[in-house]
Amino acid sequence: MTAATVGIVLVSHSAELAAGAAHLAAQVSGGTVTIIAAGGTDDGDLGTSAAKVERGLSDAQSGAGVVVLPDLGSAVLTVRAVLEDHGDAESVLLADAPFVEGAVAATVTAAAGGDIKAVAAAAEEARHVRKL
Amino acid sequence: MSASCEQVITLAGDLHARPAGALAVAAGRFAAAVSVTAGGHTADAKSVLGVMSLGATSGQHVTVSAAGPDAQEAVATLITILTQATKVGGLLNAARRTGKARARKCQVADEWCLAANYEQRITAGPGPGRLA
Repeated sequence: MTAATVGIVLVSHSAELAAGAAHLAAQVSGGTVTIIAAGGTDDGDLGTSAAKVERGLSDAQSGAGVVVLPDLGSAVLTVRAVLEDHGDAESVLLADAPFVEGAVAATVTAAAGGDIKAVAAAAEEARHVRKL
Repeated sequence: MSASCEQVITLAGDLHARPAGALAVAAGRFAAAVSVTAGGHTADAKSVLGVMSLGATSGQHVTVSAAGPDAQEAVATLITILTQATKVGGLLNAARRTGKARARKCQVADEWCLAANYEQRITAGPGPGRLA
């Protein structure tokens, strides 16, 4: 296992939702993965912030890449805008996944040493796992 | 060398999110394909959401199966984690420390490995590697 672990950025319209999902994912995965919560607007309202996403991408990057999970469709717009300006397609993947389940699955796979593609795939496969 | 290995234990506690996470993180570090079966359902041990969806509870029999080059150590490690399912703190460290020592003899190809008194020892109380 290499020293660098894939980082996770959780982009939510709600700061509390992003922070809560990050806390949950950290607890389930053992706390070894960098998970950045990028939730809410710059002034603390509901919405997304390009500045927070950009900072999150930078903070989560440790050389192994970053997987980004948006909570709702319009968070995708913010992430894409940031990636167009600063993104490196090789080192950042945007995962189309359920927010909470995807965050947990991605973080666990990152903790196990999975590469960026495996981590993004784990997030996206969360869509197909039934709870009941 | 390719091997397959299987062990059954009785869960000491419910398989909640954090134990499931510890199990999936540990499973993800092995090359072997690893599965967990409980209540007639089987999940990929590397999928934390799949493991959680088993809904395995205290007293239930759980089977860990692995096939691949490191199947033996994978099963021993995951059995250790499952054994301590009610002890959340330090799960991974305990698994690292005791997994190798507890590895049981596995037979090559499609034969099962046997752990004759393993279940007795687990249900009787804490094993030597159990954390306080």
